[in-house]
Amino acid sequence: MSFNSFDFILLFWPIVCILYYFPTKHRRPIWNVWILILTSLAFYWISDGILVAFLIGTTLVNYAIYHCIQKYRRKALLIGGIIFNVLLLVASKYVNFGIDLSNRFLGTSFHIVELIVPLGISFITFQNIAFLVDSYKNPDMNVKIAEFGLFSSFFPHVTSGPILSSDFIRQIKNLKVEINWENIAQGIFLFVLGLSKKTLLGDALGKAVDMGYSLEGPMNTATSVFVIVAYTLQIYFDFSGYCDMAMGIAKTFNFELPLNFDSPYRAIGIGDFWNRWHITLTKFFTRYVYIPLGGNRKGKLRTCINTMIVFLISGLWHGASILFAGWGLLHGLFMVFEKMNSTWINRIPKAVRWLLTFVFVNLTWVLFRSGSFGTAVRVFEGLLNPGRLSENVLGCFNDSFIPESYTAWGYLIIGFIISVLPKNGFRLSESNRYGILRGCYTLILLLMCVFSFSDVTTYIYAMF
Amino acid sequence: MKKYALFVIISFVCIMGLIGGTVYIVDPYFHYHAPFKGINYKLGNYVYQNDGISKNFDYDAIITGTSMTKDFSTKDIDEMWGVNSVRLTFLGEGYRRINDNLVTAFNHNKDIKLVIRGVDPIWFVSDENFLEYGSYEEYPTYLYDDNILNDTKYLFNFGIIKNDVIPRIKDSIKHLPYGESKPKDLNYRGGKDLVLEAYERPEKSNKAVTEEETKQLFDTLDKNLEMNVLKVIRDHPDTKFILFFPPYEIPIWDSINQEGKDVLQRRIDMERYAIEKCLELDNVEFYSFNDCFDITSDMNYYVDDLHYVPYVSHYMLECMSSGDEHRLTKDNYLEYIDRIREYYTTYDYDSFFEE
Repeated sequence: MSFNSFDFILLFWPIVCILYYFPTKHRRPIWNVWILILTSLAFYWISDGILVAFLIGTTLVNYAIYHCIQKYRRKALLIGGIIFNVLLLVASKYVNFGIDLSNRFLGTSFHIVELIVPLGISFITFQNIAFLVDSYKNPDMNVKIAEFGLFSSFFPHVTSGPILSSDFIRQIKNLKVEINWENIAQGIFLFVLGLSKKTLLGDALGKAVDMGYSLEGPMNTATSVFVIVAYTLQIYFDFSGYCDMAMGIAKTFNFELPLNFDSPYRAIGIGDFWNRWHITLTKFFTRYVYIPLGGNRKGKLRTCINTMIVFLISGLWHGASILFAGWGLLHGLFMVFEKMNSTWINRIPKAVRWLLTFVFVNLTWVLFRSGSFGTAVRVFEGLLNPGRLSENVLGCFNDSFIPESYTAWGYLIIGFIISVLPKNGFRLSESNRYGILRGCYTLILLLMCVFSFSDVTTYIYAMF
Repeated sequence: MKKYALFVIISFVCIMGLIGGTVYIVDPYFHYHAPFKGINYKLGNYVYQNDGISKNFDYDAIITGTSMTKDFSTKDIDEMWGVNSVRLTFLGEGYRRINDNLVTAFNHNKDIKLVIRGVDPIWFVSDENFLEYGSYEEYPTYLYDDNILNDTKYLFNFGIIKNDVIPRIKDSIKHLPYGESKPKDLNYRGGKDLVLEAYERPEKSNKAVTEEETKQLFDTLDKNLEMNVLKVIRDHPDTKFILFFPPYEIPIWDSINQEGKDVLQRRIDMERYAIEKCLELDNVEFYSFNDCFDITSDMNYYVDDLHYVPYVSHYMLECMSSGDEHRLTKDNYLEYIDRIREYYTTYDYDSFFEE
C-alpha cells in the first residue's frame, strides 16, 4: 500500500486516526504506542504480505541484542549486531551482484538465485545499526520493547525512510494523548504538498522518462536533454513528495520525523548537495562509517580514501550494480575534489558553482536511471546529435488541449522553478497562515491528486 | 489551525461522498445495479460493462463471444427466439474470459434459457488459462472481483467520470435514447481493399507436422474446450446452448495454408474434434458457417482480415433461429467436414492475391 492510493487516504489513515484519537479521555500514551505498532504491522503486511514476519523478527532480534549490550557492555555484542544486520542486507540484495561479479571476473558459473527482498530492508537495517551503536555509546539509554517496536515499524517511515535516530525514541517516551490541531493542520498541508509533487509532477514526468529510456535507436539532443532533466525532476518530486507525505502523516500523530530533503537542487557544491539530499542517510554515513574510519582526522590522503569508501557504499546501497557503484564513486570524486580545492572553489561566483553542481547531478543521475551501461552511453551520445524531441516522448503529454510540445517543456520549466526557487514543503508548512484560502487550495490540490489515482505508480526509493 | 484542518477534512469527505454517490447512482458500468429509471445509459463499452450486465440486468438469454459477435442485434435475437437477451462481447479474448463471464451470469441469474456463443477456432490452441488484456492500459479487474475496497478505482476514476458519468447525466437531462447505439446497417459492405490493407500474407513454408506436436495441440484443444466451453454447458442442462463457428474468410484459410497443406488438414481435423465434443451434449445446437463459401470467398462481406459486415451476423441469426441451414448434427457433421476440406484445401489462394 502506498500513500498515494485510495486505500491509504480513504481507509487506512482515517481508521488509524480514529483508533488513535477516539476517545482521548482516560487514554494512556502506551496504548497509542501499541495502536501505532499494530497498525504499522498491518500496513507492512498489506504492502508486503508474509514478510511482515521479517520486520517482527528483525525488531525482536535487534532488541535482544540491545538488551545484551546494555547488560554486558561488550563491544563484541555490538559488532555481532552490526554483522547480523549487514548480513541480512547483503543476503537480501547483493547475492546476485556478487554472483554476477564472480562469473564475470573470476570465470565461475554460479546461477542467479531468486531473492526475497523485504520492503524497506535498506532503511530498516541501517536504522537498527545506528540504534545499536547509539545504545553502546550511551549506557543510560533505556528503551522499552514497545518504544523500540514503534521506532522500528512506524508506518510513515518504514518503507522508504527517513532513517530515524534514537532521538525519535525520546518523542515516543514524551508522547501525549491529545488532539493537537496545529500538528494536524501542518500534517495535512505537508501531506497534500507531498502528494501533489508526487502525483501531479513526478508521475507525469516519470511517464516521459520511461518512454525516453525505452526508445530504441540513437537519441538526439532534445530528447537526451529532456529525459535527463525530466528524470532529475522526477526523482526529486518523487522523493521530496514521499518525504513530505511521511512527515505530514507522522505530524498528525504528534510525531516529528527528521527533515530528509532540503531543496537539494539549490546546492552550490556537492557537499552542499549531500547536506540537502537524503539528509538522514548522509548523517548515517557520516556518523557510523566516515567518522569511525577516521573522518578527516588522519591526513588528506586518508580523508580522500574515507570519502571514496563512503560514496562507494552509498552507491551500492542505492543499487546492487556496477552503475550504481559508478554513480557513487563519481560523487565521491567530485566531493574529494571539492574538499581538496575548497579555497579557490569558494571564490567562484555562487551562480557558477550552482550551475556546475546542477549539471553534474543531472548527468550522474543518468547512471542511476539507465539500468545498463549501453543505455547510459546512448543518452550521453544523444547530447551530441542535434534533433527534435521524440514524438513518443511528446505523446506522453497529449492529455490536454495545449500542444504537446508546450506541455512537455512547460512541465520541465515549471518543475525546475518549483524545485529551485520557493521554500520547500516543510518550511511552507511552518508558516502560521492557515486560513480558509489555504484550505481551499489544499483541497483543490488534494482532489486533483486523488482523481489522478487511476494510474498509480510506486516510489523510486521504495525499491531500496 | 483547527478551522483549516476541519475545513479540509469535512469538505474533502463531503465532495468525495457526493462524487462517489453520483457515480454509484449513474453507474455507467452497471457494477452495482441495472440502470435506474430516468438515468441514461449506453451499451458498447464491453470490457467495462459485461460483468455488470451479467450480474444486474434482467434477461433470460445471452449472446456472447469475441468481436465476431459485436454486430449481433439483441433486438433480432429477442424477436427470433421470443426472449429478453443481452450481449456480452469480449474483444480479443480467448475462451477463458468468455467462460468466466458465463459462469458469473449463471451464478447471478437462474432464469437463463438460451446462450448463443461464437466459438472462434483461432483460439483453439490457446492455453486454457489464457486471458487477453488486449490494448487496455489497465484491465478493470476491480469491476470483475468481489472486493469492494478496490471499488474506489471505479467510484473516483477521473476518466470514467469525464467520459461516462458526466455524458450520461447530460443525456439524461436531455432525455436522449438509452441503450444500444443505432441499429447496424445491413446494407453496408466491406471490400477487398479493406481486407488486403489489414492482412499481411505470411511467407510460404512447408511446415512438417509431427505426431508429437499434433498430440500436444489436440491436448491443449481438449483442455481448453473442456474447461472453457463444455463444463458450463454440462452444469446447466436446462439451458439451450447454440454454439457456432463464424465464417472465416479466405485470408484466414490462406494464412494456415501458407504454413503447409498438412497444417491446414490438421486444422480441419481440430474443427472436427471440437464439433464431436460439442455434439456429445444434448442441450447443444451446433452451427458452422465455414461452408458458406459464397460469403467466405466474397470480400464485400468483410471489413478487415477477420470481421464481417452486420449483414452476415443477421444472416447467421436467421439460420440459427430457423434451425434449417448450417446446423451440424451427429448425422451430417462429417459431410460438412468433407465439404470444407475439399473447398479450402483445393482453393487457389494465389489467384486471390493476383486479382
